[in-house]
Amino acid sequence: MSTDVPGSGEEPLLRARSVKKHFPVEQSLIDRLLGGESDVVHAVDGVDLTLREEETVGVVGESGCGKSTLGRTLARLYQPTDGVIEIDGENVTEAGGNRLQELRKDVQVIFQDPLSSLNPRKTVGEIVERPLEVHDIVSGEEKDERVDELFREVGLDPATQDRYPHEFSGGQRQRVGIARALAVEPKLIIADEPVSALDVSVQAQIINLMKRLQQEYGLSYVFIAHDLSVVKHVSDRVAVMYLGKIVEQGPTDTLFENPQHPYTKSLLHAIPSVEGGERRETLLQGNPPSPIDPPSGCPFHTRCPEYIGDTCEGEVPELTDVGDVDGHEAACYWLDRSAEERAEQDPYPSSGLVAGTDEG
Amino acid sequence: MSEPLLEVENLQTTFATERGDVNAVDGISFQVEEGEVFGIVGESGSGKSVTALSIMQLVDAPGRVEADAVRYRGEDLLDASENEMQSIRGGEIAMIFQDPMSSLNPVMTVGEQIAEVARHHGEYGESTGFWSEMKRKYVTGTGSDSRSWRRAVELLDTVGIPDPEQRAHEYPHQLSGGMKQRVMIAQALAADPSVIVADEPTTALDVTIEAQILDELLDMRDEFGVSVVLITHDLAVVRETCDRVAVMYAGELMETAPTNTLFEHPSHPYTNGLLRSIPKVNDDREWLDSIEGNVPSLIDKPAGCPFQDRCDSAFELCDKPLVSYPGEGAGHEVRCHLYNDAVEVDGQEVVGVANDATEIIENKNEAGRSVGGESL
Repeated sequence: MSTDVPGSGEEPLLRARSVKKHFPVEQSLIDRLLGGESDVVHAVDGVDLTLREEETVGVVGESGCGKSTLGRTLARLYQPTDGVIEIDGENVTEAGGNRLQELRKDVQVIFQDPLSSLNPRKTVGEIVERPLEVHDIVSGEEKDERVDELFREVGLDPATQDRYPHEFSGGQRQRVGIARALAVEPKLIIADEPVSALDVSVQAQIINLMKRLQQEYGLSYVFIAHDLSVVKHVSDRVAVMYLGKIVEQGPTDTLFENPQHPYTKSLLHAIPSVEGGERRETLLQGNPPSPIDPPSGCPFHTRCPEYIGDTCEGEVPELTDVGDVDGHEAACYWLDRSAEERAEQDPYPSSGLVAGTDEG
Repeated sequence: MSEPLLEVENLQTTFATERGDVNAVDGISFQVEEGEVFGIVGESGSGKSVTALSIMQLVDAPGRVEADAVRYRGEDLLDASENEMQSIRGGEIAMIFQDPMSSLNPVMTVGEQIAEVARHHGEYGESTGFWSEMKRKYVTGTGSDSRSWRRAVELLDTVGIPDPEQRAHEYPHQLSGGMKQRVMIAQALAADPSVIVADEPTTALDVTIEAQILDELLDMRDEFGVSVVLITHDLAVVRETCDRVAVMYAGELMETAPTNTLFEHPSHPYTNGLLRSIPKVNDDREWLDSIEGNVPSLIDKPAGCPFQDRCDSAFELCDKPLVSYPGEGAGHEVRCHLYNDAVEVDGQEVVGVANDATEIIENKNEAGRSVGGESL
């Protein structure tokens, strides 16, 4: 398992090594008196991730897979339980106080729901201005100019600065959120489901805006989303998460064309499409298991359509190179076996199995 | 043609506010055939949920529902008394809401909630009086061997909940999002309705779970022959589940068509814009084609087409009242003046407008009025 950036000697902007974030589950008083061991939610359970400058890495997975927790941990809004986070080669895992404040200038977050992440009692002008004050970047007239510029940059009319967040539409509010993140000129923006609360026509506007800003300011994004088509569109690389672990990652095109992990394959088959008339196959039954008591071995073995047997329930499979393209790795025991063997019990509809058997 | 199951003619729902009347639904007409999945697709604020609530007569003051007719099996629901409406709601037309957590009662077991619906709408020989319901709810619970409870368990089984006997005794918070939505479907089915109105039933769910729930809805259609009105913002969901679809924008219908026609020959500039703004897994576009601007305010809407300010093909006729023009093939209607016979179009560009264009619009408008708004 390599955390080096393939094909380049330069230091990555962000490097996370076996990052874990566990949350204790609240215990009842009686349990505590009896000294029972506290349960732990394994929200993020050993994630390795690297991100180069001006690169976008997409993180996808079902709800509850830990992708938002990962984002917040990488932004150091959470203190990781274990592991190392390096930004620009510097270890910031333990950073606190002034160093943490400094870090905020490099790393900013855009949240899913702009209404609950913008202070309803402050005008949007004040909201965008605040980071400039906190970090003492500019003041006085210069500050006003900078705020105007930021508004124009994200496609808002600077004349609307005196309004409150509730007076804007969802898309406009997300633009305010982006302007606020942009104010400190960060290197890295962690975008946690930035478009999933928006309508499709507005979603496209925000995606285009984020891409334009990336080119203009040389930003890097960690783009967290559950919508695979959106992730495909914006990302250079994609990491697929399941129960707190990355089960597959690689360059976007490779991952979509040659997925290796059964979970990735199932997810790709579940993408709703406006193109074909064929209905989706429901390959994945049921729900992900609880992250409080994750299954032994491969976290996906309880729902896996390509379950091998006891092997899957033993050791946790490690991310291993798939061997097609640099940086494409997956954590599945099928990788140790021959492609022919795997093809024999391929459950996916596109490979010859009759699609549409769910009719009737 | 046989009589449609549900027929809506010129529905208008208005909310009086301090700043003026909000025309949430502004004169829409459509019909739903027996055993059909009819989709209403639109962005937030387009009035699709209000349409559903208006049909069910669940719009409270300051909202006002007006229509030429809302006919269910030929009977006008607008004339029905509140008592009649109560047996129609659930019994004939059932509704599934977007967020099951806020529409299931958190302090009642799911079995209890389904059994209650079954009892109230069917012949179960069990008292549904106020005090007996209270006693069931807060003291004894519905007996596990009573017919309504058995029906509830059976329904939970039908919608694919494993171990239904056990699950019926659980509370909503003990179930996952997908399970809760299945419970909502079971509850909707409890009184054997002919129409299920599903308002964004899968929006809160992951794609993997979404596929399961949509499958479930379609199975219900095949098994019980219910019609489904599926309200959604997701064109992909429409594509794979609906037979026919209506596109809504700012309270008005833009285009109605059989699903395949709509996706293969999208005609209204708004439908086109929507389809182009969706990122697809197999597209290599660097930039998405977004529709610039925002949905117009529903207060003091401009005359004519509500989409004209954001439309690339806008031309002089756009402020004339919208009328339906035939599109590609049967059942396809487009409400856009680009399709006026007197308008000459090259691609999406208008190159000429003949003098009789306005006349055609007026004639259509007149004709529509005289037959009570010949529906789409």
